[in-house]
Amino acid sequence: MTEASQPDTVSRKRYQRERKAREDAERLLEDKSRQLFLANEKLSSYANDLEQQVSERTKELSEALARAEAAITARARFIATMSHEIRTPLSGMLGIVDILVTDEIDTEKSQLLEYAKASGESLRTIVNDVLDFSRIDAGSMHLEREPVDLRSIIVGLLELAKGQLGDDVNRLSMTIDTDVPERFWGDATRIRQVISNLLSNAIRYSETGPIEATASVIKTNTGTMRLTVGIEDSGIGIPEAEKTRLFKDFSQVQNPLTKAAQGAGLGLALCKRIVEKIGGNIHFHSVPGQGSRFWFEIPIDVVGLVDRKATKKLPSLATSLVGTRVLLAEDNKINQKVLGTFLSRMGCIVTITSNGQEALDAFAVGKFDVILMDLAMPIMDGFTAVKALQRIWNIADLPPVAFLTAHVVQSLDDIGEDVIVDAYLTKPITYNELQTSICDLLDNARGKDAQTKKIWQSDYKDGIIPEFEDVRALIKLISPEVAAGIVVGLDKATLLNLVEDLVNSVTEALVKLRAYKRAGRLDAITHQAHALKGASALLGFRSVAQILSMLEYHNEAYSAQEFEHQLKRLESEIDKIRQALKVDQ
Amino acid sequence: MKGIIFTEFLSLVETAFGEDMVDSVLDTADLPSGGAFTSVGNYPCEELIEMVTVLSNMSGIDGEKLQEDFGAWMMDMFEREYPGFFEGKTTSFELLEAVDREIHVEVQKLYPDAELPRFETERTAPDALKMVYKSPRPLEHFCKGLIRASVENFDESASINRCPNTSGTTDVTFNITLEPKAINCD
Repeated sequence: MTEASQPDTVSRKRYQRERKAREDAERLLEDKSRQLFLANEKLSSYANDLEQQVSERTKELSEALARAEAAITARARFIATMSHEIRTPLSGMLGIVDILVTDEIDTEKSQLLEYAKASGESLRTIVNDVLDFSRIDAGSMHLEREPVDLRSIIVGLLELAKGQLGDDVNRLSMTIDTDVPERFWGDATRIRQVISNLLSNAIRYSETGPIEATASVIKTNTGTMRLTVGIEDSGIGIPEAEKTRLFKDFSQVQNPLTKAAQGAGLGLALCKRIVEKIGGNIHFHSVPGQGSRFWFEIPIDVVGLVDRKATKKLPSLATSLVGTRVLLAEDNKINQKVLGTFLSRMGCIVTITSNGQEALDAFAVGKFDVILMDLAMPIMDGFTAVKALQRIWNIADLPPVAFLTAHVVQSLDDIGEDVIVDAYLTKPITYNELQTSICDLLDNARGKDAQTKKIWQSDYKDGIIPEFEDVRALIKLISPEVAAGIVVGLDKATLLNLVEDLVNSVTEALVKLRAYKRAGRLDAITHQAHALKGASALLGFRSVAQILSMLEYHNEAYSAQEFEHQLKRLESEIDKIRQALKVDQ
Repeated sequence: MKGIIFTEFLSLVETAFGEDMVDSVLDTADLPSGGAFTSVGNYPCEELIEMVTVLSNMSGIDGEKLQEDFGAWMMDMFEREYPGFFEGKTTSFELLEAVDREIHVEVQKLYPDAELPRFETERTAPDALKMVYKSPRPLEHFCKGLIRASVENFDESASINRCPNTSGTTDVTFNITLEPKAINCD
């Protein structure tokens, strides 16, 4: 029998053992698969839970975010409203205190009133800072776009600072690079606010030693300009530990020079926010015991509407203006008189109107060669008038138009887009500028082959032409470039009349300005200052114009003390002119 | 200890000595599990030692020799059933070094409760590897068999020496030194 044919016999024991092994294995596998099933179930429930949790959390978070944002906006709005509401009665109170101070004879009571006034002033500063803060937070701080004259801002601030320093005025100095443009687009009030803050810190944290204001510009690779303005003091400096929280809200460096803390510690934080809002940066460098330098840099855009350099290059060469028919729209009587006289001297035939509507009524095609249009006028402003002209008439039939703009133009941005305009003349307009501008306008309108000839060359160099010899004192007060135009453009009698008018107007205005300030009528101050500023500048009284300009733009920011300081300066400038008039007569 | 060790041991016994020997060993040995091993179960190591002892008594072959042969058998089985672990390995040293670093890592993932021995390796010379076997189980000869088979499977030849243990622990150190192939060819 072969092996293959033998039936396989398996012992009972082995069979049972194998069966047990199989049963064990099956049980184990079943257990395992149950475990797997349960684990799987657990996992999918985790996954579901997780998804639900994520969506719930996301919902909760977005709700919380919305609530937080709403709360922030509400808070900012609340603070803004409250600050505004506080400011109005505060102004009233301070006005009353001012009156009381003036009337009070009792020294003790006067002293108390002065304390009340000082407290009120510092409260107002804080409220103003808080208001600015909340405006920035609420995104409602709107930056103006206006021509900024940095030199005038810094000079004005240093003048104000002199009041605080008393006898120590020589500590203040300024260095402004000649590259810094005369005017650039920006928000003068905000820029002034930042510089003022830095300057008052410099004064507050240094007892002695020089304080210097500097300004310079650099051209970037992209062709844009960046302005750097710095204030450097040689005061107590900033301790290392304080440096990191310097620009934080409500932080203050301990000042051993003054025992009590001053202000709310918002100044630098506010500066930082303003500068950043403008698109710049603020920095500082400080060595404890040696002093600090703060500086900020902002992008600027040069006011290039009137190419002053180009017009200045050719002061003596111009197209003959004899017989040129000019339509002038200007509401200010003094300006009317001056510009009218200038134009007549150039041989122009002038039609003077007092507002845009009158100019529109006076206009007809072929009647004028040039239109000079002031921007801010009652009844109809120059912008609206020119827009109307260009709507009514064919643009090709219209003569060249030049806008006359004061320091601030409300809507220059819009003008560039909506209205075709040939030139902007920025007040104060000198005889020379007016003449070359009109020549340019006519040249452009007539084409290159226009007949040109030399018509004017200033006799005024360092001396004075004979007619004005006996008003030498007055001419000395007038800025040289304006004086050069005046001696050619005006006769002596007209000049004296104009100056007298101005002196009287400003004297009257001084009374009004004080009354407005007491009554808190800030708009009226702006208006009054604006009205006289143009005329003062036109007559070449630069300091007067500068003070009026400061009053026009910054009176809102002035404390009663600062305001009064400016008025005192104004008075003293007017006095000088009055004295000069007396001497000359 | 994983059931596959026990079922493979019985396969070795069956291959080497026949079915009857399997029955005899299982009948004779004192096995609490009753000898009904399955590859998916877990059984005490003592039962393996008991079966080796019984087999040694019955066959007259030294227990240590049996353990070592079983180690070599298991290495062959691993290579056959789990070729993935051998991919990319070109020498026995590489394989032995991979036991702790790669193979046991994977095993631990599949069987989180497995108590794996440690195989610490160190190349003491280009042709010498020191391997320290750390385990609570007395299976050093089994371990030597694994080493032997891996050397042979890479067609190498080596001396495998067990160093005397002076540390007082149950650790066992092997010094494996490759022998030149020329000699191997003889």
